[in-house]
Amino acid sequence: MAEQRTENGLLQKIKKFLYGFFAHGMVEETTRSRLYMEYYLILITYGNIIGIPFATNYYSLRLLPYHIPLFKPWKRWILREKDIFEMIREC
Amino acid sequence: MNSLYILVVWAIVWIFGYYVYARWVDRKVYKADPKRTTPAKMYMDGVDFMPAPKTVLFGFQLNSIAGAAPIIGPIVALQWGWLPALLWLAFGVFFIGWLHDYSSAMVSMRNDGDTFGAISYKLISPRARGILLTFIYFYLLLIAAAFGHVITKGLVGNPSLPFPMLVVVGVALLVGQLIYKTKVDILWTTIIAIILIFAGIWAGNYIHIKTSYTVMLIAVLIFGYVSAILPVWRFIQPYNYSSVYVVYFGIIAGVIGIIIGHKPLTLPAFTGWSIKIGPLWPMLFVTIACGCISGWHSLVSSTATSRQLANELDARPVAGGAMFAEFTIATIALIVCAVSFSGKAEYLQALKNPVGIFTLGLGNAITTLGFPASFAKSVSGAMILILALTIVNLVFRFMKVATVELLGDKIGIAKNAHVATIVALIFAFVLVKTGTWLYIWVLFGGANQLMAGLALLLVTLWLLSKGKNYKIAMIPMFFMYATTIAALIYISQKLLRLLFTGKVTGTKIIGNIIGWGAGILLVIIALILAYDGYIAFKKYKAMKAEEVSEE
Repeated sequence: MAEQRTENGLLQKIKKFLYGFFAHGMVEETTRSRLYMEYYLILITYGNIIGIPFATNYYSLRLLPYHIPLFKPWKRWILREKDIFEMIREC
Repeated sequence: MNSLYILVVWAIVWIFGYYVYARWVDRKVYKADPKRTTPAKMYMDGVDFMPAPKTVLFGFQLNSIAGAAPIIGPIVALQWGWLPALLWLAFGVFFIGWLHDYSSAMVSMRNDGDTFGAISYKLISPRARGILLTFIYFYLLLIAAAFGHVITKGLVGNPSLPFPMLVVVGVALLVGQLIYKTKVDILWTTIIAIILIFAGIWAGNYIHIKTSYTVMLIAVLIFGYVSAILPVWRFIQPYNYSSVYVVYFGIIAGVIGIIIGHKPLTLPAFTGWSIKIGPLWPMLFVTIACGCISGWHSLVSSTATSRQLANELDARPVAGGAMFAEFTIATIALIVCAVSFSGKAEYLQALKNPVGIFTLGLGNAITTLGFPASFAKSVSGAMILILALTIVNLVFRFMKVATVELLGDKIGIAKNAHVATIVALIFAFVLVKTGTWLYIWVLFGGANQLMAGLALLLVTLWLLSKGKNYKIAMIPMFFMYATTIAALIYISQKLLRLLFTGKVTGTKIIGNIIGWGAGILLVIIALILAYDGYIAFKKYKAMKAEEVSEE
């Protein structure tokens, strides 16, 4: 209970607001850049999953356990139609 | 009248708008449900779709929507007197502004986090998306020209400001290097950045840089080029991060200064129904956009915020709350300017340089706190220029992408990032050099309000298609549509009349023709989308009638 109070306390709220105001956009952009690199790596190593004929090689298999958790969001990301509004946000 | 009464109006609007009307819409119309899974949770991918706490998102949304426009709009609108400007701010944000931002987030959230392009494709017509792209390009061009002039004029008109701005740019590059390359702790980086920027502002009083308007405009456009070409982490991110401290120092000091100083309003409450820009309706309603209602916010709400809301109940405090916070900034701008001049004549003389007006107004408020007058004025000037440059550096980046989208398939070279950026810069240069700023500002306001009208059209159609009370969005939509189209037609005919009566000469002829063309194009786009919207409205109405008869 005390923990919950601290979570919702005024000080916490101010800290979260300041983080959101000053840093959230910056953190989001950085995370996006990092994950997109990861997605491009998945694309060139496991592109055959979505029909792009890249031959699976030894290294793909070695990397497979690390990439399995990302397959679902990656497929959604790469197959989702994007329009200019989205590109504007990412540019 | 004492300026504190305006703060009373502000508080009433905030309390009744946010806690009464917004709560009613949230609970009774949208029926926000905390148990419904939001796109952020449903499609969580760690980047685009990612739940975030509402307090974090509130800060993010406010930072994304609040720029220089909520400050400049009220300054220009004071020409009609402070009362019409205040009334439009108050009623506009109460009935339209927050609803627009909140609904944009909610509609996108209930459509799997789709952007407005995708939603307009689904709800209105396939061609609506293509038309929106053309609209966006002209919208961006007008933003670039409007703010390009504000910055250039501000830098030329106040020789103590170019040096601090150079320091801000240098600090941004340094912060990018320290955070991402040298991996210096962000706290130390922030402290270094703040010290350097404030030292730069102080030094600006001793290091004056004077140059011509054209040279300064080219310098501003080079800034736009650099921000469009460099990676986001290298310049834009650290620029926004390090410079925002000056902005909020200025706002907080200004608010305290207003309360302590509580000076009487010296400008007239009402000057007349028609002034040089045009008649009160529709021109006032496009002169003040941000701070009251702005189409730009629908882009932020629908592409960024809607995909991060963890709970539907968070949409009101995040999107609606941020809009009321921006209304606060606009109210402050209105007050500091309405108390700073001895009379209307002095204000009109100063209006040629809106940055100068704000610098004087906010500078006086900050001086009340005991800061030296020269430093207070430099902070105020730097603050508004930083906000305007934040917009310019994003706009050219957006225009680069839009140029590639529009021309890339037809002209191969347009796919090149440098070429696309330079094309955008040339368009902006020509418009700034040849256009009349006041008309460009109004055209920008018109485009912005038109975007808001289009967003409200989508919201109306969505509410209708879901059998909800669509009138809460439809009435504001009609108002925004009618006002914006009337304003664009008024400005276009005025520009044309000036052209044919020979009142504009030389290069201004080109600016008038571009302004007229942009105005007419925006009207045509609005009418096409209104027609498509009407067809879609009839379709959904018939569907609802069928459902009722089947039951």
